[in-house]
Amino acid sequence: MTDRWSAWITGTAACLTVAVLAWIAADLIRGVGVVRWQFFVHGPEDFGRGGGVAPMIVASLWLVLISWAVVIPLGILAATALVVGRLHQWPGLRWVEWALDLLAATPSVVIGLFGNAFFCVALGLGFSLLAGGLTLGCMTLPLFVRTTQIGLQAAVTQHYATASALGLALPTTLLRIVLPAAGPAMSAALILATGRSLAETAALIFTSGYVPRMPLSAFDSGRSLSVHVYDLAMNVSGGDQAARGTALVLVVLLLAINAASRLLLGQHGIGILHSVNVGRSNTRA
Amino acid sequence: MSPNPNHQKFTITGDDAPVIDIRDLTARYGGRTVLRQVSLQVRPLRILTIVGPSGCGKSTLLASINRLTDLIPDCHITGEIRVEGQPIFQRGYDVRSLRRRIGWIAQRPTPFPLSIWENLELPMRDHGLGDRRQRQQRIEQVLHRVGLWEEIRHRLHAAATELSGGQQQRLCIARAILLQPTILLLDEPCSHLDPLSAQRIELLIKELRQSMTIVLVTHHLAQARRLADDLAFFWWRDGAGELVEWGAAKELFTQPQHRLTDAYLSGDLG
Ligand SMILES: Nc1ncnc2c1ncn2[C@@H]1O[C@H](COP(=O)(O)OP(=O)(O)OP(=O)(O)O)[C@@H](O)[C@H]1O
Ligand SMILES: [Mg+2]
Repeated sequence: MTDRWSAWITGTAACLTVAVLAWIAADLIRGVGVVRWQFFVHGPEDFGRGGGVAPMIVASLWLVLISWAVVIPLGILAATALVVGRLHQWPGLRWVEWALDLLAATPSVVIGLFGNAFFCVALGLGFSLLAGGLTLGCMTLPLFVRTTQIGLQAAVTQHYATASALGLALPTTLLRIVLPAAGPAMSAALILATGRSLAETAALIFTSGYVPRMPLSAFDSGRSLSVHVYDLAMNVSGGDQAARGTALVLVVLLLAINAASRLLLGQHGIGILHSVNVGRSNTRA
Repeated sequence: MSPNPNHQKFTITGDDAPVIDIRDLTARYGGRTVLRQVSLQVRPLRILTIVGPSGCGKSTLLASINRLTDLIPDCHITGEIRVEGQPIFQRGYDVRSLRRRIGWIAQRPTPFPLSIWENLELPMRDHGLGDRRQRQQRIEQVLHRVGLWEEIRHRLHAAATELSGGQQQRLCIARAILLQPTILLLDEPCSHLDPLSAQRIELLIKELRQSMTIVLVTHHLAQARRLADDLAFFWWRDGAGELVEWGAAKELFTQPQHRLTDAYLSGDLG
């Protein structure tokens, strides 16, 4: 009886999920019509009703790369510090974690206002991809740190006692065993963070702007794909088809970035971290 | 029944000065005492086997010898342990060097998620033992010693986790003895292995005894009988583990002083 019910409930939930996915896929596929190779190399014409999305792709890539430059090094350091802190029972650690969770839950508009006040105005970066990317970095850092921390904690639980019993130095344990073991978790964290960055509009309108021009450097302002989709759907009558096409490009870009981050930090990432370390220890030996 | 619960059946003098000397060791987790007033000595190049019911603090005792209990936040140890004459709980004591000199093998094999070769080489390199070529020679030697060389020589760069449980356990022993320890702590090293693998490990322990002092925790009385030079028997009292009796294994098996020891070793208890 209960078995039958739970089967029904899970079945319905599964069907609903698939239905939503199918709807999205259908919408995206309707966008295929506008996606020709010109779409990738031309700028928008007629407010985006025609032409392509090349400047937005470039702007989005800039934004993602800049946010990675913030999130990957800072995030790995912070997550490692949290895990080591827990080992040594640093006081105040719970407050730091609490602050991170609070930050992770902060609405992106608020982060955008902060980014505008801090990066654009206080640091004088103006409306630029750099300001936008740094803002996205701040926005996704807590998520990345907390997800990475879970992976690191699991590796510590599994290997720390063994490493200690062998008298391994803490840096060796962290660099050679714990961090590589957490590679897949880090890659998942990066995918989550990047997904949020690519989907972001509110935080970017205040920081990197929405000029649909080809950005020539990180100091130019630029319009991300998401901002473009938003603009086409909300402000441009007859822009629906182009919006669908842009959304399709966005999804494909997201898939490509998934693959890239897997390569950077996942299975292959272990190899990368690894060769860096082997190089280091050989010079010492 | 013996009037002295820590009844000792031989005197330790001269060359036989204990390698590990435990005095009045009490261990608590939080406020709960799990091990009370243990005094015990381990003679050089002997196998001391520790037996007793589950949860009476055998692993805790073992972990306090290499100060692995430091890692457990609410674990509190009082009393004294001297290893090779040095009190290990003293302030400023070099724990890293202590842990290099004491190998520790856990119940389940614990290879790192690295290749077989890296599992063995990483700790040596971290302790600065030998140059590349010397390490290579030592690793080959030790793999012969633990009987793994023929089995894995062709796949030294495969992941260590791909080995069988018994092979992994021998790899862990190899990893420990590559650091040239003088003491080896083994916490039920065979309990997760098939009889054949267990037998191989037993033979290995016997062989290792020629060059190091061994403390072995086991639930397997037949194994204790086969391997032990000395035997320590722990039992519960008032919710904490206590040492009931210890001494030469032969004597404990044939004429124990304590009724509990007799019952346990003859298989009537636990
Ligand atoms: N990290 C810990 N925190 C709190 N209590 C613990 C911890 N580790 C062990 N204990 C408790 O301490 C007591 C002794 O545990 P220990 O693992 O030393 O026993 P043992 O004799 O090795 O048992 P077994 O034969 O089952 O391995 C047990 O009651 C256990 O519940
Ligand atoms: Mg145990």
